[in-house]
Formats: sequence, structure tokens, C-alpha cells
Amino acid sequence: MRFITKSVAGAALAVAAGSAAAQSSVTLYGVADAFVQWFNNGGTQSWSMRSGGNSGSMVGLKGSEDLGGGLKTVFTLENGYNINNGTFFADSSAMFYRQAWVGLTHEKYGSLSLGRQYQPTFWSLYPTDPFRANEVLSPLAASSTTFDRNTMATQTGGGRSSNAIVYKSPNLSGFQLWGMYALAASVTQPYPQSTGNMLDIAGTYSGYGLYVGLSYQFQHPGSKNIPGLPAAVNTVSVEHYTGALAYRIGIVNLQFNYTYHKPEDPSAGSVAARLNAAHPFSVAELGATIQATPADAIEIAGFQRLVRGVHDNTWGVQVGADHSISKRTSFYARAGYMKNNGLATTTWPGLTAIGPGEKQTLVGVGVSHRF
Amino acid sequence: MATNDTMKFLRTGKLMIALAALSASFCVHAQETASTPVASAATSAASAGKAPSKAVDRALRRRILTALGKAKGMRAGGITVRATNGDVILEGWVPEEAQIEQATRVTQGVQGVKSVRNTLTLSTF
Repeated sequence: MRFITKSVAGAALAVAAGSAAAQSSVTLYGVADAFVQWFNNGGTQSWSMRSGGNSGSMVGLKGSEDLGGGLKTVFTLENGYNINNGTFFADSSAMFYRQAWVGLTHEKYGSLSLGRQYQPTFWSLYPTDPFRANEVLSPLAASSTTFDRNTMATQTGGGRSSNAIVYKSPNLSGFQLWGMYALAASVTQPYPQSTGNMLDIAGTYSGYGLYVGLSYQFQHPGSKNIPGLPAAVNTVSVEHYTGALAYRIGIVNLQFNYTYHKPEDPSAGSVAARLNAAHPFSVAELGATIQATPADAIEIAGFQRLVRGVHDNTWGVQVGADHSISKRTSFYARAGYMKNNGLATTTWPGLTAIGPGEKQTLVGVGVSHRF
Repeated sequence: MATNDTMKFLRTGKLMIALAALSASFCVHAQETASTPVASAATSAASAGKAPSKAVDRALRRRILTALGKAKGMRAGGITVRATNGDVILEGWVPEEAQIEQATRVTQGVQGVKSVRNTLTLSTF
């Protein structure tokens, strides 16, 4: 893989000697990440092998074509897969579950792209999660995407949107702005679900060791066919408010984020109203990344998911250690604990809590390679 | 009982990691020196000889973090900067490969930087 990248870059360099314009390149890249997990689900223990505990396992292609005058065409196709068994990640019907988009980018005016992409809210939030919003073992991903009896009809952001138009400004003295409008989408996995149009706006600042991210999402109504329920649940429109903050003191990066998910009241008589399943909830995380040595990072996080108006909340702690043995290969360990109270069923993504109010404990050790 | 098991597992894990760290430290060093061009664009501002105070190091660190934060196309949120007497180590992660080299270039351009050692790794989500 590296060979291909290098030879393309080499060719580009050779061509560049003649003319700067009309360069184009395609890079193959990816992550191979596997870990062994011990999981205690309310007293039921299990061992398993899983994929992507540090960085999601993926294979991607990205390319650009120089159009001259600072303008470029860019694209990314990114497949998620499970390295433990070779299957597609999360949705077996989606070849490029992670990203698939094409767009134009200009040095001065920013970039505009169409396709399946990360949401502005995700970009503003992930630098403040010690576990980098990893969608397998990050407690932030767990708390933000889980739903339970009281929040079935409260849509979650999810991090990525299909059918999305994204504008990203260039870096303006440390400030950056994002805007997204995504058209309605539907999926069949992990369960049939449709989401309405979504607006997402974010701004970030980075400088003097400080990072600030603010974002706002408005999600139109959709529906979910949750297995075990006789009828589809209508999901209501939801506003997501996110604030993210990080500050560096020496080798320590202190990180904090808070998100409030505010659903509209479901219309009277609808399934969501009858089930009383559209409660607001918040997710807060306070943590730190400690760069102990150039090759060792320690991650610590405490987090809380709080559903409003009912007895339904989760708090937990998670620690992690990453040790790089090269630029591309690292070993990692994670240990996390979640205490579910009331009807809460929060657990790590891809796992299912055995019942409401059950404690979750997970320990994982793995290896991650980037190519 | 469960917590006991967890602790034992953690301890074993730590030991394994420590062993791995020990055995790997040589090869990491070798690779860094081989793959990372160490810049020696010493500026006259940072005069050698006298050991500058920690405050000077801190100010330099802050200047570098700001320069990285402002650089076009950079996502500097994951970068830790260590500065000692003008010698800089960049640690942590960036989301795109091109930003690894860019971080070295940006840091070299900051006033007071004598040398840059780049140990940044690539990290997606």
C-alpha cells in the first residue's frame, strides 16, 4: 500500500517539474485494528475478538486533481470492515459506510462536497474526546448514540450523514467554520430507520493551546422499526446543541464536552407520544489525554448521560493507554465501567445491555496498524 | 470478584505493555532518526549556551501551538509540543498523513525553534 502511495507521489513530483497544474493523485490508505475484549454485562461475562477499538478498521481511497488557480477536485471513498471476521462494518449493505463524497476545494474559499460525510458537529466534538469519538470503544460515542425506552423517539446525530452537502471554510487564523445540509435518508441496518433532513453548523478555534468547538444541529422527523416492537416508532425533530473545550497544560490535554439533545413534543396520539419515548437528554464528558512519552499516551474520561424528566441516567469512567512501536503500529488497552440507573441501557456501540439498570464493564487489549 | 479479575487483567496488561515498550524503544528511535529529517535552522534569537528559563520554553511552546492552530489544512487538536531550549518534539496525532510533514514545516518556521523532532502518528477515528 505504501508502495503505491509513494510511486504515485513520485510520478506526481516528476510531472510537477514540468508544470504545476493538472497534477492528480490517488492514495490507498487504511487501518487494520483488532482487539480481544472481556465484557461483563450485568454479571454475564464473555470473551470476544472485535475490530477497531482504537481506530475503526477501514480501507480508503482518496484522490485529488489540481485544476489550477488554487482549485482542486477531491474525493474520498472509505469502507469500514471488521477485521476479526472480514465482514463489512455496521451495515453489510453499505460498501463505503464510513465516507463517500466528491467535491471542490479552494485554498482561499474553502471546500464544498457532496455525499456521505462527517457532520460539522462531529468535527467540532471529536478533538475533546480522549478516545477520539471512536465508534467502537469511545464512551462518548456510546452515550451519544445509544437509546433506551425513554429516548427511542429522540433522534441522535450519529456523526455521519448520507446525502449531505458540506461546506468547510479554510483555516482563518485558527478559526474554522462548517455548514451542512443533508437530505432525508433511510437504512435497513442495524434496523430499518429513516431520518429527516438535517441542518448542521459548527465553528471551531484552535490556538495558544486552547481548543473551542460549538455546534448546532436541527434534525427533521423520521421513523424507526425497532426489533421487538409491533409498530414503527415515529421519531420527532430534535435540536442538538454541542459545546467542546480543550486546553493544553504541558503534556496534558484537558478535554470537556457537553451536548444537549432537545426533542420537540411528539404529536398527540402518535406512537412516540403513546410510548412517552421522546425525552430530552444530555451527554457530558470530562477527560484528559496525557502524552507521557513520545510513544505513550494515556487517556482518562468520566462521562454522564442524563435523560430528563424520568429516572434514567448513566455515568461511567474509562481509561486507556496507547503505545506506539512505530509511526504506523501501536498497541492499546482500554478499561471502562458504566453504571446504568433506572431504565438506562447504555453500553458500548455494537453491544447490547442485558437489561435496564445493569452495570457494564469492558476491558480490551489490541493492536492497531495504519497503512 | 469481577473487579478483582479486572484488576488482575489490567496489571498483566500493563506488564505486557511495559515489556513491549522496553523491547520497542530501540527500533522506535532508529525509525525516527531514519525517517524524520531533523531541521537545524537555528535562529539567532535563541542564543546557545545559556540555559533559558522554563518561561521561555513555555512561551515557545505556545507560539508553536498557535502557529499549528492557524496553519491552513492543519488539525492541531491532537498535537502535544515539548520545547527545551529551542529543541522541539512534536507528539500525538493528526487526522491526515499530509499534516505530519506539514507540522514539521510549520514548526520550523516559528521564531526560536532550533530543531524539530516529529513523532506524530496518523490517527483516524
